[in-house]
Amino acid sequence: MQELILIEPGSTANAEWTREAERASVLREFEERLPDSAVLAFRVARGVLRNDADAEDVAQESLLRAFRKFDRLRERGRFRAWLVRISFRLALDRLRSAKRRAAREFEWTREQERSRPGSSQGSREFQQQLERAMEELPEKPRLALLLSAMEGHTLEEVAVLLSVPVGTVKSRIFFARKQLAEKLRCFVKPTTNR
Amino acid sequence: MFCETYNKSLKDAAASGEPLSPALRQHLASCAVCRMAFAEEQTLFAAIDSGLHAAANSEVPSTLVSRVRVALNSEPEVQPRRFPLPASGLAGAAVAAAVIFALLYLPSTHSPAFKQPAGSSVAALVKNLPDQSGLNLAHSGGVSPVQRKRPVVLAASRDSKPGSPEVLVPDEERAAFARFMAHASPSSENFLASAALVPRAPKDSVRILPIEIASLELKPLDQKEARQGQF
Repeated sequence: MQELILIEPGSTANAEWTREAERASVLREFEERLPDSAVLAFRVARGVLRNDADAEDVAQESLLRAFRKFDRLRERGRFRAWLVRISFRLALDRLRSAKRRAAREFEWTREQERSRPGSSQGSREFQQQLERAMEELPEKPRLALLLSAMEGHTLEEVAVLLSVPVGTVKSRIFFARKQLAEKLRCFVKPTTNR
Repeated sequence: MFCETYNKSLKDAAASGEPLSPALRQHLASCAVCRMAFAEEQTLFAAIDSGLHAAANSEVPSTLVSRVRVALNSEPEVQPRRFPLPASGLAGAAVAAAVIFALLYLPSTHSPAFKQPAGSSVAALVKNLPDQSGLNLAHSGGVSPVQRKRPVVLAASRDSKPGSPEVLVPDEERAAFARFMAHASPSSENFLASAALVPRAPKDSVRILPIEIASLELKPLDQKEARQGQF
């Protein structure tokens, strides 16, 4: 018992110091990844939500969640894939909220008009229809298509992010593009006939 | 509109964006309708790709990274588990094992206490019992009405052999209880022995005196105290 009393204070301080050092190390490592990861999280969320403000909130929440469990992630190489899943899932959850949806539609229309004053009515409408058609796609093809459309993502990288073979990514993208084409055919024909 | 034969393959070729097979290329060279339809299909996919690119590569707000940094630094420290999972699991298993052991073996260690003392029998015990009317004592002066109604004495007290059970019997039921135990199953003889031979706990030891509250004396507040009382 005496031994315990003598050893306890020293060991507690040591454990606390070790924990502090570990936390600082984790924080440093996470912050190094932050600029790149924030872009990925934001774009995934933006692709689902079609609204910058919501996407920013979701990206922040995804990154915080990722940070909370970062020290438990054994394979650090899988971090981006993990973050994509968190961000996509959170964005879908937010999208399903009916109240926000109505407000988002309104805000989205205003935002588009503000950001692209020179764009024609036809192309704005097409973009709107495209994003709506995207929303109706099943989750897996949708995420594959979204990731493949992001700058700098090859099919192999998308496969790594989704933890599936490249062939699966290809087939998901193919399926998604065909679905989109079926829904958007009528919006393109008039422009091509000109 | 594509020719019926090439409809699916040309649409798939446009959707995949991969180079056309020689057969398809040959057909497109010879069929103007399919050529036009294929051009429309390619325009459609180009528009889709362009729209997707715009949707997937939107500008990231400059505030995002700084917002996240602030949130990270104000994030409360996650308390690590005091005991790692395997250790706590082992501890839990040890406690469970101890409880099971106690449940299984503890009653068997008590059983010798029930053994009949050498040379004693039920008859002898009953004979040696003190006056039963003495057992049925008058109600002791308890404190609360509840205690007055049902004074409880220790039939087998702590003074008895270690490991023997303690049974609480109200005063007025003690004699009846002793008689009942005398006629009960043989295994209860042991209990009777300890129940009968152990003297009653002294009345004084269970008596609780009522709380005495000193009488209150009311005094008028002087002026200073009255001022302090005002807000």
